[in-house]
Amino acid sequence: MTGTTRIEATYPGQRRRPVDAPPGQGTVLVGALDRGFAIDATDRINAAALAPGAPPPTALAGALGAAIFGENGRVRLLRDPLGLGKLFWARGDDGRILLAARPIRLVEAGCRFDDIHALPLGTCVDLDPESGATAVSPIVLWPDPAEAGPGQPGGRPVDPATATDPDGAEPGHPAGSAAEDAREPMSSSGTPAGTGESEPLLRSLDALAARIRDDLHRYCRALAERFADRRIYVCLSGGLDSTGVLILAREYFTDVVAVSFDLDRARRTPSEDRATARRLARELSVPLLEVTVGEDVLLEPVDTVIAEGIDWRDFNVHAALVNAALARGIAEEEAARGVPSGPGATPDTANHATAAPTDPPALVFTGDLMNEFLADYREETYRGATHYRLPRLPPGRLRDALVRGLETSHREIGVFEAWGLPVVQLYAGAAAALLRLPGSFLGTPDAKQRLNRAVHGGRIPEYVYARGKARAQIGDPRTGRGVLALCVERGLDEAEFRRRFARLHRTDPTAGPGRFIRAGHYRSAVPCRD
Amino acid sequence: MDVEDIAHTIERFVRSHFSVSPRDPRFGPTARLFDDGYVDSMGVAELIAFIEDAFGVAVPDEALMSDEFATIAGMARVVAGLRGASAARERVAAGGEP
Repeated sequence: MTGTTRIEATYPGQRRRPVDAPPGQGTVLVGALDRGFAIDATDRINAAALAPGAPPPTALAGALGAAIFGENGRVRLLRDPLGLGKLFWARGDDGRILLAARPIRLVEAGCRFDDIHALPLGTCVDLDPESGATAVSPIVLWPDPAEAGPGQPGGRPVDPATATDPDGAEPGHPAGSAAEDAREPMSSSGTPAGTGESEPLLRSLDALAARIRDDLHRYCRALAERFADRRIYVCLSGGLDSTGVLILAREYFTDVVAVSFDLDRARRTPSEDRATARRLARELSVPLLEVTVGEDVLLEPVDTVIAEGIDWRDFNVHAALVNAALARGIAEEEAARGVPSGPGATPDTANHATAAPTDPPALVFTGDLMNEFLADYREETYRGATHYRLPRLPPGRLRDALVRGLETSHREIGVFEAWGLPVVQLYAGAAAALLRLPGSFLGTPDAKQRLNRAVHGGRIPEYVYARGKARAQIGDPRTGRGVLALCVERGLDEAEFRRRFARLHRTDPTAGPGRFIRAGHYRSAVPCRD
Repeated sequence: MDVEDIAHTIERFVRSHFSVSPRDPRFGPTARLFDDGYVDSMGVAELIAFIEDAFGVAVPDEALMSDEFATIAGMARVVAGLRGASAARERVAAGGEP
């Protein structure tokens, strides 16, 4: 990256809203940033500790894509280790650095799409205009799994063949998946060969589940410390992941509302997801907000979800459409109870130096990340065509690829924020431990059930364990009831989504998107001086 | 294994794994694999896994997004560089010269 960064005095009193900074001055925030809920090594959501001048954070858990403006023009840019939070930048013609949570904001501000970069994930960048210095420091996952030994809770994965520590583990990263997968013979079904797991592996999994449970509770405590009196909306598909989130939310918050999505396709009976959500809400004494939308309403915000979700890949767009419906339903509920939402809200998070007077009135909790952590995806076939193709990789490597792709997935946070709703992806709080699950375990057909039993036990009802995979976003394409089927029928395929993405971002549809996202990574760089 | 050998190995993998027609006149070491549609977004993960396993290297993010990593020839140069750097580290660790 060439070009001189002329960081001069930052515009005083800078806020999250678009500002008309004098030409040639400093770093400018374009539009609102997403709310972040990362905890640091103090196990707290600690906005003050992230401000310029404080020691840069070395470890975080949870989503954070932040730009914090300090004294004397100093700016701190942050992005969490998994890249769940998003922060993009481009240099304006006058030398100012423009920052935004979406590349489309920068395009609308006059930047060329090919000039837009993401802040690299797991990075803290301090820009000091007085000294002209740019300091870059890494941020790893918290809690740091390297602190634990092999086979210990949160430590390196146990080699199922020898119960010894595989090589190549790095803190904060899926450790040893490649070596592990190479040692583990794969059967033709793609699952590890052999008749069962070793005793050391089973003991290790129980210990790891305990660590995951502890980390989830740690994260919930940190959230409750800040937001105990807030309304918590839990997106509930009735599957294991979302049910686990609901169980935890009820334990730490007093005002919890479950939210269920269903697509109205002239069907008299509710979907299995809806029926299960109703039963869970009833048995757990939690109010249920039922969001049921028709086909046209569901598809109306396609361009919005493509821009706010920063994506054109079909699975993510389909999921984003469901999230948009949920977001709209929740926003209407908030409006009905007299609570304003929308971009005007200015919550007290780590995204700006000056604390705004109003915290978010409500948070949305989701359980989406578990699908990546457990590599719990499958391809779908509809009308003879295969959709949602997965890389042909062993389970551990597949998990690694899917987790890597979280950096470029914004189908939840981005879409809900478009309706003014901040999202907490609860399983991000246990990411470090979840990434320690060995590939041999991930390859077993009942991995998710076993893990959830170890983490939540009987707190999740048996009928949820017994359900097949619940895909709230997809429905059942075999019966033509899901979003996938609807999009196929309407001619909304990935090629069309890609064309729309390119049009919205004023770039070439053939090369532009592919140069922006590759193998789950954004085109990334650090803004700095020559 | 020199750069040319690396390129040939990668090309053989891409041709077979992504079903490139042997009569495709556009395909070769300088074809832009992603822009020209030979390797899709899922295929990139498979290609990276192959490269890392075949050559014993870890492809860093900055290399992945570089223009060099868009063609077979460029990938081969990247891999050769990574292998050279890795060998130098090993020599230093063993008390030798870089």
